[in-house]
Amino acid sequence: MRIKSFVRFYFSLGLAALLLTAAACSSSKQNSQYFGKNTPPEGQVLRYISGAEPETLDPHPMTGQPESRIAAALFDGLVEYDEKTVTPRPSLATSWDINSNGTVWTFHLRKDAKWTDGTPLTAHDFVYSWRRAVSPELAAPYASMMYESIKIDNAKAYGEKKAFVRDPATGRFLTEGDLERAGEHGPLTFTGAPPINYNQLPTQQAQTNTSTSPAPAQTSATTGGNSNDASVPKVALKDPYFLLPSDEEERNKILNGDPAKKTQPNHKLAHFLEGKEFVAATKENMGVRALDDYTFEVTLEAPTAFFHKIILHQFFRPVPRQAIEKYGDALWVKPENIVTSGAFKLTEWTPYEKIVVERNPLFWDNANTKLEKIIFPSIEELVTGMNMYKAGEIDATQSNEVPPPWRNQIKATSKDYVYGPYLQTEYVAINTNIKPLDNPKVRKALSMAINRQIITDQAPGREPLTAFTPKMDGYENAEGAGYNPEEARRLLAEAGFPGGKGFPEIEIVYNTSESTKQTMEFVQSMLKRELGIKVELTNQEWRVYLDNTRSDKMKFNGLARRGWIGDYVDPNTFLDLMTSASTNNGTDWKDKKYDAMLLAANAETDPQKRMKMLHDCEAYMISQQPIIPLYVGPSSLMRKPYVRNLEANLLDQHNWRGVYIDHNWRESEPAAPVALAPLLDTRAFPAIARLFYTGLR
Amino acid sequence: MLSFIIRRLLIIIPMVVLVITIAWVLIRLAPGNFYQTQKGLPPAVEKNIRAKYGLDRPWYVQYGKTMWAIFHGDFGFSRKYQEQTVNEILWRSIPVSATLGVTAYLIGLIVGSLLGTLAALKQNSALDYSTMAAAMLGISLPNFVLGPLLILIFSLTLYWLPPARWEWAVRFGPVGIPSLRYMLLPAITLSALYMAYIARLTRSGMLEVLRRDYIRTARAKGLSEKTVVLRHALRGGMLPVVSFTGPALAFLVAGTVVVERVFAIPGLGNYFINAALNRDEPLLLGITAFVAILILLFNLLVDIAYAYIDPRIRY
Repeated sequence: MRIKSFVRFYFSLGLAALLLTAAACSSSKQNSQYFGKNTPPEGQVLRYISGAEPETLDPHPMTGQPESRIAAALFDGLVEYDEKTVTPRPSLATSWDINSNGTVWTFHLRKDAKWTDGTPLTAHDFVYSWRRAVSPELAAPYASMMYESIKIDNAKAYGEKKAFVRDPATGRFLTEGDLERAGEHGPLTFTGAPPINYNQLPTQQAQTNTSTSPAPAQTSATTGGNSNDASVPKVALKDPYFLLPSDEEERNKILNGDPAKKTQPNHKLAHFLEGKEFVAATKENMGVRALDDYTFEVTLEAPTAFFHKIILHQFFRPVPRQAIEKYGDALWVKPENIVTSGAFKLTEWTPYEKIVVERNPLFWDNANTKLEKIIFPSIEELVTGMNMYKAGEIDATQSNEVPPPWRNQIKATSKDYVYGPYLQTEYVAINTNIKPLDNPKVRKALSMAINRQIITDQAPGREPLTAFTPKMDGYENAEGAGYNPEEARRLLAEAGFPGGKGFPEIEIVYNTSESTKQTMEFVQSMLKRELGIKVELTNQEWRVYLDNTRSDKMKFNGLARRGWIGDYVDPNTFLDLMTSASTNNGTDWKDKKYDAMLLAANAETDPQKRMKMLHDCEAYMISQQPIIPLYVGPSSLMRKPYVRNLEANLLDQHNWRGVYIDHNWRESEPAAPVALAPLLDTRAFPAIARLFYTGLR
Repeated sequence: MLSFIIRRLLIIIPMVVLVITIAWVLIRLAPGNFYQTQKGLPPAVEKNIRAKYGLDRPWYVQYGKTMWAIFHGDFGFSRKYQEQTVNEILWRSIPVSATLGVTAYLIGLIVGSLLGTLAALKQNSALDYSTMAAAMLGISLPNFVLGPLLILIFSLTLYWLPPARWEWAVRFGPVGIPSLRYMLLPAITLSALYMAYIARLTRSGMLEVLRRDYIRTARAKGLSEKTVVLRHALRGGMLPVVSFTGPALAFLVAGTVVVERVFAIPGLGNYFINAALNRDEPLLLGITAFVAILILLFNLLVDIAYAYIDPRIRY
């Protein structure tokens, strides 16, 4: 981006001038242990920077973190974040039961929950909301959250507009297992029971089933993954239905071949399916139902031990049917139309200026809400946000609002810099398709050539990462091979490239951003220095980079920068990425054994045993080294000393109900003079100047 | 004159269509798309999204539909800000950018032409040199530098003015009177360049005019110096400033990206750059069309003003 480098150049210039003036007019007001003014706002009002202008306030099409924090204030969930641990606490659901194999979750809802328009919030709202989240008409980018990491029964079939195949003679449906058993020549017997209509209650359904046909129980179980490794416990899964596109044209392209894309016709399948019926999957087939007004039941295709953790995410929070049907999918979130259920309600939304939410008197736990009002100004530039914070116009910020090169300085001088661990990892994905990166030895050598300590010293709170997941409560993360240049050289020589001789030139693709650039330049120089490998840096604009590094495109010759921020506090939010089916794999490393191991771990109901199994998954994956792990980022926010119950936590999500302003706060300790000297330290100049524009990403 | 204006107005239509078409083609050539996030999308979800926005139709259908809607004044919903129509965004952000831009330009025009005239009258004096030195500094000091500098002094050290944002003091629908406290720093930052430019343009224009025969005639007739300068010289001396005003105003309304970002002002420039970065096609087309019309109209106004100021010009 030419504009950006232009802007960045002038910003550096501006900063230099700025620093000089800072020296000239450093005033007595800066002689505090805090960053800027400390005058609390009047009343219980919080002014919080959550980031740039939200894309939407509808929890379903929402994809960004800034808006998700606002959604958490507006929409209540089955469970709500604990402020410190960000693990689930009962909220709309007072309790839940899980069946013996962990596939049916029954949530008991509280009876005093209401929407802001006064209508009661019931299990039917959940059924409507979860169906809407997946619906192909809404086309929510995160739709697959309901059928990838967790697999709600038939959600994929409904969301992806698929059809089941029915044998009109027997009324049975085709499953993947049936096709497998039929082999090349058949005969093909349809064994699947009809897909459940979840609009019917379980008892009614059992009756209808028996009345139509004495159905043989659907017990034909297959195992997840096809690993032949005996050490991996096998998980019995329901035999999945065989699915084809419900659109006839699309379907014929698969059966008869697509001349446009030059795909071959599938004669075998076409022959098998002759005279069969195609039954389009509907929203009623999706595994969510209201057993009664206050009991919500979810049926999953595979056991999912972390289900209660993932449903903290805004995507699973209920949306108001009454408002959406009245105003439509786009306009219902306008301040004059919106109906919400959370501790706060929307009172003002001036785009690109601010969002104001106020206490919701109808909220079931209103007595424990402490704030009267939260103001979320939309601020795009980190530096602008910091200016407003310093001038006392902001009380707290999102994580990482402090530009990285400022952090060491701010941490040293300001007590309002709060930081802690964060579920954010930075790593380099390896394109395992290309030679010689298909060799695990080579990949291991690359990873062992990186001295992570140097990167982590750049900013406070960073932790070196040698495997894949950050530390989490109750989970001991695996450790991969750390910095060991001799061993790295030995491995590379073993793979046939002594001293890097004959190693083809590879590239690192990364997105235009100053801090990423620094890190990638560092990786480049380490690989050159320790292994003699020449790596080219390819800097791409954000959306170009996203497009080229997609798992189904893999358009990069060697390495690509990647980062991941966990969605929920469970190792699976990271480990899930590396499965074969994941659209976030990014390495083309596909390993059946790994898939089976992770599936087995997520079926384990004993938490301790499960964590051990997840640890083994991670250890196995990193032994194959499809990635070069770099570091775990910290969660670091700015918070005025009078703000209470707002912590730096693993997800940078907050339970706004408990936050309050402490008007009794006084700066009691004697003010220590703050030296401006570090800010004027000439060594810090290039870093500070470079940073000044990272915000424009 | 009237036929000239009508002719020029008619030309605007094909020009705008051309500009929108070029923008439409360019955004399709740009790699990436509006829906991709760091989280990967399964192909089926991607397909649903493309179908929702009609991106699975042939290009001529998409182009035809877009142009037909634009012809009816409807740019549709923004792709990034999903519940806002482009018209709504324009309606809200144009007054902000326009208020800020026009204020900045007025500051620049008044102070700049005053300084330029004084410098020309006292040519080669200390006043002349110091004014022109200041103008040189104003031209070479970009607003990326000036903005943060002013913030540092007035907001973060003296705590006099807010460091960012925009507030309307009084509001009448989309327009209003802005809060001075908020507008002062960005307006000064934005005006510096224009002030400097206008001072220099006025000075050179005045110097040229003051040597003209008709000025000597006016003086010979015994008119007071005040009348000579204000009635006769200034009119001719300001001509270069007038031709500069058209594009400058259009730029001020639409191109104040950096100042808007530094001060977090909800103006058009902010949306413009984000629309491009987010591949937000409807918003980008809307802003492009608006800016194109604005520049064409201002150029027309400049030509009309020329005819008014300089009696020799006839269309």
